[in-house]
Amino acid sequence: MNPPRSQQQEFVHPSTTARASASHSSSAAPLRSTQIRSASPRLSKAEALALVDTCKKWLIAGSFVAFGILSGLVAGHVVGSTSTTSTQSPTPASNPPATSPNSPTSPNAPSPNGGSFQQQQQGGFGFGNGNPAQPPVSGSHTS
Amino acid sequence: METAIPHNHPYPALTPPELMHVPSGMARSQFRAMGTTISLLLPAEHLQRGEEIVRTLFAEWEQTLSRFLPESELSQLNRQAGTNFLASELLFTVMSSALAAAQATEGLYDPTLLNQLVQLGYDRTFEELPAELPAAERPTFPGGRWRDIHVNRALRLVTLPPGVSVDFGGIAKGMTVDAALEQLRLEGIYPALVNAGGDLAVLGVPPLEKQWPIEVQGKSRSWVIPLHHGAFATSGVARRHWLQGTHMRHHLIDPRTGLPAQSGLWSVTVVAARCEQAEVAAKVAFLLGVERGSEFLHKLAFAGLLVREDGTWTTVGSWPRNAMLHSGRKEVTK
Repeated sequence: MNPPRSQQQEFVHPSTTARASASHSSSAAPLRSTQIRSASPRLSKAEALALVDTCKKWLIAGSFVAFGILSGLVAGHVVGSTSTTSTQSPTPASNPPATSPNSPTSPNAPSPNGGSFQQQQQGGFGFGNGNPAQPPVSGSHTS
Repeated sequence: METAIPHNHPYPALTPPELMHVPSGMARSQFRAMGTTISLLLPAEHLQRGEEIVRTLFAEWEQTLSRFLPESELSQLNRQAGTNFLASELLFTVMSSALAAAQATEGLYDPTLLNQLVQLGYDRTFEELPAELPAAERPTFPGGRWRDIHVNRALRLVTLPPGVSVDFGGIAKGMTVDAALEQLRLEGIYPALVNAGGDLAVLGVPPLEKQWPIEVQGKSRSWVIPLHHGAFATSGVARRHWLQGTHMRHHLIDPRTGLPAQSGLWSVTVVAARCEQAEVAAKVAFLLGVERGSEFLHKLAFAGLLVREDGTWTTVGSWPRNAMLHSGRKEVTK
Protein backbone atom coordinates (compact mmCIF):
# COMPACT_ATOMS: atom_id res chain seq x y z
CA MET A 1 0.00 0.00 0.00
CA ASN A 2 1.36 3.39 -0.99
CA PRO A 3 1.80 5.91 1.79
CA PRO A 4 -0.22 9.12 1.59
CA ARG A 5 1.43 11.88 -0.54
CA SER A 6 1.54 14.33 2.32
CA GLN A 7 3.71 11.98 4.33
CA GLN A 8 6.02 11.49 1.34
CA GLN A 9 6.55 15.27 1.07
CA GLU A 10 7.88 15.41 4.59
CA PHE A 11 11.01 13.59 3.50
CA VAL A 12 11.77 15.79 0.51
CA HIS A 13 14.61 18.32 0.83
CA PRO A 14 13.32 21.88 1.29
CA SER A 15 15.27 23.23 -1.69
CA THR A 16 13.82 20.50 -3.88
CA THR A 17 10.41 21.50 -2.75
CA ALA A 18 11.13 25.11 -3.55
CA ARG A 19 12.39 24.30 -7.05
CA ALA A 20 9.36 22.06 -7.68
CA SER A 21 7.00 24.79 -6.53
CA ALA A 22 8.74 27.35 -8.71
CA SER A 23 8.40 25.23 -11.81
CA HIS A 24 4.71 24.64 -11.20
CA SER A 25 3.70 28.20 -10.35
CA SER A 26 4.90 30.75 -12.87
CA SER A 27 3.28 33.67 -11.09
CA ALA A 28 5.32 33.16 -7.96
CA ALA A 29 8.60 32.53 -9.81
CA PRO A 30 10.38 35.92 -9.38
CA LEU A 31 9.89 36.01 -5.67
CA ARG A 32 10.91 32.36 -5.19
CA SER A 33 14.05 32.63 -7.31
CA THR A 34 15.18 35.64 -5.30
CA GLN A 35 14.70 33.68 -2.12
CA ILE A 36 16.69 30.78 -3.55
CA ARG A 37 19.55 33.04 -4.68
CA SER A 38 19.85 34.57 -1.25
CA ALA A 39 19.87 31.13 0.41
CA SER A 40 22.50 29.67 -1.98
CA PRO A 41 24.40 32.45 -3.80
CA ARG A 42 25.58 31.65 -7.34
CA LEU A 43 28.79 32.90 -8.89
CA SER A 44 28.80 34.99 -11.94
CA LYS A 45 30.37 33.49 -15.04
CA ALA A 46 33.44 35.70 -14.70
CA GLU A 47 33.86 34.76 -11.07
CA ALA A 48 33.46 31.08 -11.89
CA LEU A 49 36.04 31.30 -14.66
CA ALA A 50 38.43 33.07 -12.32
CA LEU A 51 37.90 30.35 -9.72
CA VAL A 52 38.51 27.64 -12.30
CA ASP A 53 41.68 29.41 -13.45
CA THR A 54 42.94 29.59 -9.87
CA CYS A 55 42.21 25.90 -9.38
CA LYS A 56 44.07 25.08 -12.58
CA LYS A 57 47.08 27.06 -11.45
CA TRP A 58 47.17 25.32 -8.09
CA LEU A 59 46.71 21.95 -9.77
CA ILE A 60 49.65 22.60 -12.11
CA ALA A 61 51.83 23.88 -9.29
CA GLY A 62 50.88 20.90 -7.13
CA SER A 63 51.71 18.52 -9.95
CA PHE A 64 55.16 20.03 -10.29
CA VAL A 65 55.76 19.80 -6.55
CA ALA A 66 54.56 16.18 -6.40
CA PHE A 67 56.68 15.29 -9.42
CA GLY A 68 59.70 16.90 -7.81
CA ILE A 69 59.17 15.05 -4.54
CA LEU A 70 58.72 11.73 -6.31
CA SER A 71 61.79 12.36 -8.47
CA GLY A 72 63.82 13.14 -5.38
CA LEU A 73 62.66 9.98 -3.69
CA VAL A 74 63.45 7.89 -6.75
CA ALA A 75 66.89 9.49 -7.16
CA GLY A 76 67.73 8.98 -3.52
CA HIS A 77 66.44 5.46 -3.34
CA VAL A 78 69.08 2.74 -2.90
CA VAL A 79 67.96 -0.46 -4.52
CA GLY A 80 68.38 -3.46 -2.28
CA SER A 81 69.50 -6.89 -3.27
CA THR A 82 68.90 -10.29 -1.85
CA SER A 83 71.66 -12.04 -3.69
CA THR A 84 73.75 -14.32 -1.55
CA THR A 85 77.31 -15.48 -1.64
CA SER A 86 78.12 -17.84 -4.44
CA THR A 87 81.25 -19.70 -5.29
CA GLN A 88 80.69 -21.13 -8.73
CA SER A 89 78.27 -18.87 -10.51
CA PRO A 90 80.08 -16.89 -13.14
CA THR A 91 77.90 -14.67 -15.27
CA PRO A 92 78.50 -13.97 -18.93
CA ALA A 93 81.10 -11.32 -19.55
CA SER A 94 78.72 -9.46 -21.79
CA ASN A 95 76.29 -8.75 -18.97
CA PRO A 96 76.58 -5.32 -17.40
CA PRO A 97 78.46 -5.84 -14.17
CA ALA A 98 76.54 -5.52 -10.99
CA THR A 99 77.76 -3.33 -8.23
CA SER A 100 77.33 -3.36 -4.55
CA PRO A 101 74.24 -1.47 -3.51
CA ASN A 102 76.18 0.05 -0.67
CA SER A 103 78.78 1.61 -2.84
CA PRO A 104 78.62 5.34 -2.97
CA THR A 105 76.71 6.45 -6.02
CA SER A 106 79.31 9.10 -6.61
CA PRO A 107 82.81 9.08 -5.25
CA ASN A 108 82.59 12.76 -4.55
CA ALA A 109 79.25 12.54 -2.81
CA PRO A 110 78.97 9.17 -1.14
CA SER A 111 75.78 8.16 0.51
CA PRO A 112 76.15 8.83 4.23
CA ASN A 113 74.59 5.55 5.23
CA GLY A 114 77.35 4.03 7.30
CA GLY A 115 76.77 0.67 8.85
CA SER A 116 77.67 -1.10 5.66
CA PHE A 117 80.01 -3.62 7.24
CA GLN A 118 77.03 -5.47 8.66
CA GLN A 119 75.37 -5.73 5.27
CA GLN A 120 78.01 -8.16 4.17
CA GLN A 121 75.82 -10.38 2.02
CA GLN A 122 74.73 -7.73 -0.39
CA GLY A 123 76.60 -7.74 -3.66
CA GLY A 124 78.27 -11.03 -2.89
CA PHE A 125 81.53 -12.44 -4.13
CA GLY A 126 82.46 -15.49 -6.12
CA PHE A 127 85.38 -17.52 -7.33
CA GLY A 128 85.98 -18.79 -10.83
CA ASN A 129 86.69 -22.36 -11.68
CA GLY A 130 89.39 -21.94 -14.28
CA ASN A 131 92.96 -23.14 -14.48
CA PRO A 132 94.70 -22.23 -11.21
CA ALA A 133 98.08 -22.33 -12.95
CA GLN A 134 97.30 -19.43 -15.25
CA PRO A 135 99.42 -16.33 -14.82
CA PRO A 136 98.08 -13.76 -12.38
CA VAL A 137 96.74 -10.40 -13.46
CA SER A 138 97.10 -8.79 -10.05
CA GLY A 139 98.01 -9.59 -6.48
CA SER A 140 96.85 -9.21 -2.90
CA HIS A 141 99.44 -8.79 -0.19
CA THR A 142 100.02 -6.98 3.06
CA SER A 143 100.37 -3.29 2.50
CA MET B 1 88.84 -25.54 7.47
CA GLU B 2 91.89 -27.23 6.01
CA THR B 3 95.48 -27.11 7.11
CA ALA B 4 98.57 -27.62 5.01
CA ILE B 5 102.17 -28.55 5.72
CA PRO B 6 104.46 -25.58 6.32
CA HIS B 7 107.11 -24.44 3.94
CA ASN B 8 110.04 -23.13 5.90
CA HIS B 9 111.29 -20.57 3.46
CA PRO B 10 111.50 -16.82 3.44
CA TYR B 11 108.30 -15.26 2.22
CA PRO B 12 108.12 -14.52 -1.48
CA ALA B 13 107.63 -11.20 -3.14
CA LEU B 14 104.69 -11.02 -5.48
CA THR B 15 105.15 -10.69 -9.19
CA PRO B 16 105.61 -6.98 -9.97
CA PRO B 17 102.52 -5.52 -11.64
CA GLU B 18 104.41 -4.66 -14.80
CA LEU B 19 105.31 -8.33 -15.23
CA MET B 20 101.84 -9.67 -14.64
CA HIS B 21 99.55 -10.95 -17.35
CA VAL B 22 97.33 -8.43 -19.11
CA PRO B 23 94.09 -9.91 -20.45
CA SER B 24 93.31 -9.47 -24.12
CA GLY B 25 91.74 -6.12 -24.93
CA MET B 26 92.83 -4.60 -21.64
CA ALA B 27 95.69 -2.41 -20.52
CA ARG B 28 97.44 -1.71 -17.26
CA SER B 29 98.16 1.60 -15.61
CA GLN B 30 99.56 2.51 -12.22
CA PHE B 31 100.32 5.53 -10.08
CA ARG B 32 101.20 6.37 -6.49
CA ALA B 33 98.61 7.46 -3.93
CA MET B 34 97.85 6.86 -0.25
CA GLY B 35 101.41 5.75 0.32
CA THR B 36 101.12 2.81 -2.03
CA THR B 37 100.91 1.84 -5.69
CA ILE B 38 97.50 1.97 -7.31
CA SER B 39 97.29 -0.49 -10.18
CA LEU B 40 94.48 -0.56 -12.71
CA LEU B 41 93.37 -2.97 -15.40
CA LEU B 42 90.92 -1.31 -17.78
CA PRO B 43 89.66 -1.76 -21.32
CA ALA B 44 92.49 -0.53 -23.52
CA GLU B 45 90.32 2.02 -25.32
CA HIS B 46 89.28 3.62 -22.02
CA LEU B 47 92.58 3.44 -20.20
CA GLN B 48 93.38 7.14 -20.23
CA ARG B 49 89.94 8.31 -19.15
CA GLY B 50 89.62 5.56 -16.57
CA GLU B 51 92.99 6.33 -15.05
CA GLU B 52 92.13 10.00 -14.85
CA ILE B 53 88.90 9.22 -13.04
CA VAL B 54 90.56 6.91 -10.54
CA ARG B 55 93.58 9.14 -10.02
CA THR B 56 91.35 12.15 -9.30
CA LEU B 57 89.25 10.16 -6.90
CA PHE B 58 92.21 8.78 -4.96
CA ALA B 59 93.75 12.24 -4.75
CA GLU B 60 90.56 13.69 -3.32
CA TRP B 61 90.05 10.91 -0.79
CA GLU B 62 93.67 11.06 0.33
CA GLN B 63 93.49 14.83 0.64
CA THR B 64 90.46 14.43 2.91
CA LEU B 65 91.31 11.33 4.91
CA SER B 66 95.08 11.13 5.32
CA ARG B 67 96.45 11.50 8.81
CA PHE B 68 99.86 12.32 7.36
CA LEU B 69 98.69 15.50 5.64
CA PRO B 70 98.40 18.35 8.16
CA GLU B 71 95.88 20.17 5.99
CA SER B 72 93.63 17.17 5.45
CA GLU B 73 90.13 17.31 6.84
CA LEU B 74 90.88 14.36 9.09
CA SER B 75 93.88 16.18 10.57
CA GLN B 76 91.68 19.21 11.20
CA LEU B 77 89.12 17.01 12.91
CA ASN B 78 91.82 15.49 15.11
CA ARG B 79 93.09 18.93 16.04
CA GLN B 80 89.58 19.99 17.03
CA ALA B 81 88.84 17.06 19.32
CA GLY B 82 86.44 18.07 22.03
CA THR B 83 84.49 20.45 19.82
CA ASN B 84 81.76 20.04 17.23
CA PHE B 85 83.25 19.62 13.77
CA LEU B 86 81.20 20.14 10.62
CA ALA B 87 82.36 17.30 8.38
CA SER B 88 82.21 17.02 4.63
CA GLU B 89 79.96 14.34 3.24
CA LEU B 90 82.97 12.19 2.43
CA LEU B 91 84.52 12.40 5.88
CA PHE B 92 81.16 11.88 7.53
CA THR B 93 80.47 8.80 5.42
CA VAL B 94 83.82 7.21 6.17
CA MET B 95 83.44 8.06 9.86
CA SER B 96 79.99 6.48 9.89
CA SER B 97 81.28 3.36 8.20
CA ALA B 98 84.22 3.15 10.59
CA LEU B 99 81.99 3.47 13.63
CA ALA B 100 79.58 0.89 12.21
CA ALA B 101 82.50 -1.49 11.64
CA ALA B 102 83.70 -0.89 15.20
CA GLN B 103 80.22 -1.63 16.50
CA ALA B 104 79.85 -4.76 14.36
CA THR B 105 83.21 -6.12 15.47
CA GLU B 106 82.68 -5.24 19.12
CA GLY B 107 85.52 -2.78 18.97
CA LEU B 108 88.17 -5.02 17.44
CA TYR B 109 88.22 -2.66 14.52
CA ASP B 110 88.95 0.61 16.28
CA PRO B 111 89.47 3.89 14.40
CA THR B 112 90.70 5.66 17.55
CA LEU B 113 94.14 4.06 17.87
CA LEU B 114 96.16 6.86 16.34
CA ASN B 115 97.68 7.95 19.66
CA GLN B 116 98.78 4.39 20.33
CA LEU B 117 100.35 4.13 16.87
CA VAL B 118 102.21 7.38 17.38
CA GLN B 119 103.40 6.27 20.80
CA LEU B 120 104.73 3.10 19.22
CA GLY B 121 106.72 5.21 16.79
CA TYR B 122 104.50 5.19 13.71
CA ASP B 123 104.22 8.97 13.61
CA ARG B 124 105.10 9.57 9.97
CA THR B 125 104.55 7.81 6.66
CA PHE B 126 106.02 4.35 6.61
CA GLU B 127 108.44 5.35 3.86
CA GLU B 128 109.88 7.96 6.23
CA LEU B 129 109.97 5.67 9.24
CA PRO B 130 113.45 4.47 10.22
CA ALA B 131 113.89 0.75 10.76
CA GLU B 132 114.95 1.35 14.37
CA LEU B 133 113.48 3.79 16.88
CA PRO B 134 114.33 4.62 20.48
CA ALA B 135 112.36 2.89 23.20
CA ALA B 136 108.94 4.28 24.09
CA GLU B 137 108.94 6.86 26.86
CA ARG B 138 105.48 6.05 28.14
CA PRO B 139 103.47 2.84 28.28
CA THR B 140 100.69 2.55 25.77
CA PHE B 141 97.03 2.12 26.70
CA PRO B 142 94.00 0.23 25.36
CA GLY B 143 91.62 1.66 22.77
CA GLY B 144 87.86 1.75 22.74
CA ARG B 145 87.34 5.51 22.72
CA TRP B 146 85.32 5.21 19.49
CA ARG B 147 82.35 4.64 21.76
CA ASP B 148 82.65 8.27 22.92
CA ILE B 149 82.55 9.77 19.44
CA HIS B 150 79.34 11.66 18.83
CA VAL B 151 77.92 12.09 15.35
CA ASN B 152 74.93 14.17 14.36
CA ARG B 153 73.72 12.79 11.07
CA ALA B 154 71.26 15.57 10.38
CA LEU B 155 73.85 18.33 10.82
CA ARG B 156 76.87 16.20 9.78
CA LEU B 157 78.64 17.06 12.98
CA VAL B 158 81.38 14.89 14.45
CA THR B 159 82.64 15.37 17.98
CA LEU B 160 85.73 13.51 19.09
CA PRO B 161 86.34 13.13 22.79
CA PRO B 162 89.16 15.38 24.05
CA GLY B 163 92.53 13.76 23.52
CA VAL B 164 91.28 11.23 20.98
CA SER B 165 92.57 11.09 17.40
CA VAL B 166 91.24 9.08 14.51
CA ASP B 167 93.10 7.03 11.93
CA PHE B 168 90.84 5.15 9.55
CA GLY B 169 93.64 2.90 8.34
CA GLY B 170 92.73 0.33 5.74
CA ILE B 171 89.00 0.96 5.72
CA ALA B 172 89.51 4.28 3.95
CA LYS B 173 91.66 2.65 1.30
CA GLY B 174 89.13 -0.15 0.85
CA MET B 175 86.29 2.34 0.52
CA THR B 176 88.30 4.29 -2.03
CA VAL B 177 88.74 1.16 -4.13
CA ASP B 178 85.00 0.49 -3.93
CA ALA B 179 84.21 4.07 -4.86
CA ALA B 180 86.64 3.99 -7.79
CA LEU B 181 85.01 0.90 -9.21
CA GLU B 182 81.58 2.41 -8.78
CA GLN B 183 82.69 5.53 -10.60
CA LEU B 184 84.12 3.45 -13.45
CA ARG B 185 80.86 1.55 -13.65
CA LEU B 186 78.88 4.77 -13.85
CA GLU B 187 81.17 5.92 -16.65
CA GLY B 188 80.66 2.64 -18.50
CA ILE B 189 84.30 1.66 -18.12
CA TYR B 190 84.41 -2.08 -17.44
CA PRO B 191 85.57 -4.75 -16.97
CA ALA B 192 87.91 -3.22 -14.47
CA LEU B 193 90.25 -4.07 -11.64
CA VAL B 194 91.48 -1.58 -9.07
CA ASN B 195 94.30 -2.62 -6.76
CA ALA B 196 95.48 -0.28 -4.01
CA GLY B 197 98.56 -1.88 -2.53
CA GLY B 198 97.02 -5.32 -2.26
CA ASP B 199 93.44 -4.26 -1.55
CA LEU B 200 91.64 -4.93 -4.79
CA ALA B 201 88.20 -5.27 -6.27
CA VAL B 202 86.92 -6.20 -9.70
CA LEU B 203 84.00 -5.25 -11.90
CA GLY B 204 82.89 -7.71 -14.56
CA VAL B 205 85.30 -10.24 -16.02
CA PRO B 206 87.97 -9.75 -18.69
CA PRO B 207 86.94 -10.36 -22.30
CA LEU B 208 87.29 -14.01 -23.35
CA GLU B 209 88.11 -15.03 -19.80
CA LYS B 210 86.04 -16.39 -16.95
CA GLN B 211 87.78 -14.87 -13.96
CA TRP B 212 90.58 -12.70 -12.67
CA PRO B 213 93.57 -14.79 -11.56
CA ILE B 214 94.78 -13.08 -8.39
CA GLU B 215 98.12 -13.88 -6.79
CA VAL B 216 97.89 -14.15 -3.02
CA GLN B 217 100.96 -13.89 -0.86
CA GLY B 218 101.78 -16.52 1.72
CA LYS B 219 104.80 -16.63 3.96
CA SER B 220 106.74 -19.16 1.97
CA ARG B 221 104.94 -19.19 -1.35
CA SER B 222 102.13 -17.57 -3.23
CA TRP B 223 98.99 -18.92 -4.85
CA VAL B 224 96.81 -17.89 -7.76
CA ILE B 225 93.16 -17.65 -6.81
CA PRO B 226 90.52 -17.25 -9.55
CA LEU B 227 88.25 -14.40 -8.52
CA HIS B 228 85.04 -13.98 -10.42
CA HIS B 229 83.53 -11.06 -8.57
CA GLY B 230 84.17 -9.35 -5.27
CA ALA B 231 87.15 -7.94 -3.46
CA PHE B 232 90.39 -9.06 -1.82
CA ALA B 233 92.19 -7.58 1.14
CA THR B 234 95.18 -8.81 3.12
CA SER B 235 96.30 -7.79 6.58
CA GLY B 236 99.64 -8.92 7.90
CA VAL B 237 102.99 -8.03 9.31
CA ALA B 238 105.22 -8.71 6.32
CA ARG B 239 105.82 -5.07 5.44
CA ARG B 240 104.97 -2.52 8.09
CA HIS B 241 107.12 -3.45 11.04
CA TRP B 242 109.95 -1.68 12.84
CA LEU B 243 112.09 -1.94 15.94
CA GLN B 244 111.28 0.32 18.89
CA GLY B 245 114.01 -0.09 21.48
CA THR B 246 114.23 -3.85 21.82
CA HIS B 247 110.62 -4.49 20.76
CA MET B 248 109.55 -5.42 17.27
CA ARG B 249 106.47 -3.37 16.40
CA HIS B 250 103.93 -3.56 13.61
CA HIS B 251 100.91 -1.53 12.59
CA LEU B 252 98.13 -3.97 13.50
CA ILE B 253 97.24 -2.73 16.97
CA ASP B 254 95.06 -4.79 19.26
CA PRO B 255 92.65 -2.31 20.89
CA ARG B 256 92.38 -4.57 23.93
CA THR B 257 96.00 -3.88 24.82
CA GLY B 258 97.02 -0.91 22.71
CA LEU B 259 99.99 -2.93 21.52
CA PRO B 260 100.80 -4.70 18.25
CA ALA B 261 98.79 -7.91 18.03
CA GLN B 262 100.48 -11.17 18.92
CA SER B 263 98.02 -13.64 17.48
CA GLY B 264 100.33 -16.22 15.97
CA LEU B 265 99.25 -15.18 12.49
CA TRP B 266 101.44 -13.86 9.73
CA SER B 267 98.67 -12.70 7.42
CA VAL B 268 94.97 -12.98 6.73
CA THR B 269 93.46 -12.59 3.26
CA VAL B 270 89.71 -12.14 2.99
CA VAL B 271 87.40 -12.17 -0.01
CA ALA B 272 84.13 -10.30 0.40
CA ALA B 273 81.64 -8.39 -1.69
CA ARG B 274 83.46 -5.11 -1.19
CA CYS B 275 86.97 -4.06 -0.39
CA GLU B 276 85.84 -2.14 2.69
CA GLN B 277 84.39 -5.29 4.21
CA ALA B 278 87.38 -7.42 3.25
CA GLU B 279 89.75 -4.88 4.82
CA VAL B 280 87.98 -4.75 8.15
CA ALA B 281 87.39 -8.49 8.28
CA ALA B 282 91.02 -9.31 7.48
CA LYS B 283 92.29 -7.03 10.22
CA VAL B 284 89.85 -8.31 12.82
CA ALA B 285 90.54 -11.96 11.94
CA PHE B 286 94.25 -11.23 12.28
CA LEU B 287 93.75 -9.81 15.76
CA LEU B 288 91.60 -12.76 16.83
CA GLY B 289 94.07 -15.44 15.79
CA VAL B 290 93.51 -18.55 13.76
CA GLU B 291 90.68 -20.21 15.70
CA ARG B 292 88.51 -17.27 16.63
CA GLY B 293 89.46 -15.45 13.44
CA SER B 294 88.22 -18.38 11.39
CA GLU B 295 84.98 -18.45 13.37
CA PHE B 296 84.56 -14.72 12.83
CA LEU B 297 84.95 -15.04 9.05
CA HIS B 298 82.72 -18.10 8.95
CA LYS B 299 80.01 -16.25 10.84
CA LEU B 300 80.10 -13.45 8.28
CA ALA B 301 80.13 -15.94 5.37
CA PHE B 302 83.35 -14.46 4.03
CA ALA B 303 86.07 -16.57 2.43
CA GLY B 304 89.50 -16.37 3.98
CA LEU B 305 93.05 -17.60 4.05
CA LEU B 306 94.85 -17.43 7.39
CA VAL B 307 98.60 -17.93 7.27
CA ARG B 308 100.33 -18.68 10.56
CA GLU B 309 103.74 -17.39 11.55
CA ASP B 310 105.19 -20.83 10.83
CA GLY B 311 103.87 -20.71 7.27
CA THR B 312 101.02 -23.20 7.66
CA TRP B 313 97.68 -22.02 6.45
CA THR B 314 93.98 -22.48 6.99
CA THR B 315 91.14 -21.67 4.66
CA VAL B 316 87.68 -20.53 5.66
CA GLY B 317 84.34 -20.69 3.88
CA SER B 318 84.23 -20.99 0.12
CA TRP B 319 87.89 -20.19 -0.40
CA PRO B 320 88.92 -22.41 -3.37
CA ARG B 321 91.22 -24.88 -1.67
CA ASN B 322 91.76 -26.74 -4.94
CA ALA B 323 93.44 -23.66 -6.33
CA MET B 324 95.68 -23.63 -3.27
CA LEU B 325 96.76 -27.21 -3.81
CA HIS B 326 97.30 -27.01 -7.54
CA SER B 327 98.62 -23.53 -8.12
CA GLY B 328 102.30 -23.20 -7.55
CA ARG B 329 103.38 -19.79 -8.59
CA LYS B 330 106.57 -19.88 -6.64
CA GLU B 331 108.12 -21.30 -3.55
CA VAL B 332 110.88 -18.90 -2.59
CA THR B 333 112.07 -15.66 -4.01
CA LYS B 334 113.52 -13.54 -1.37
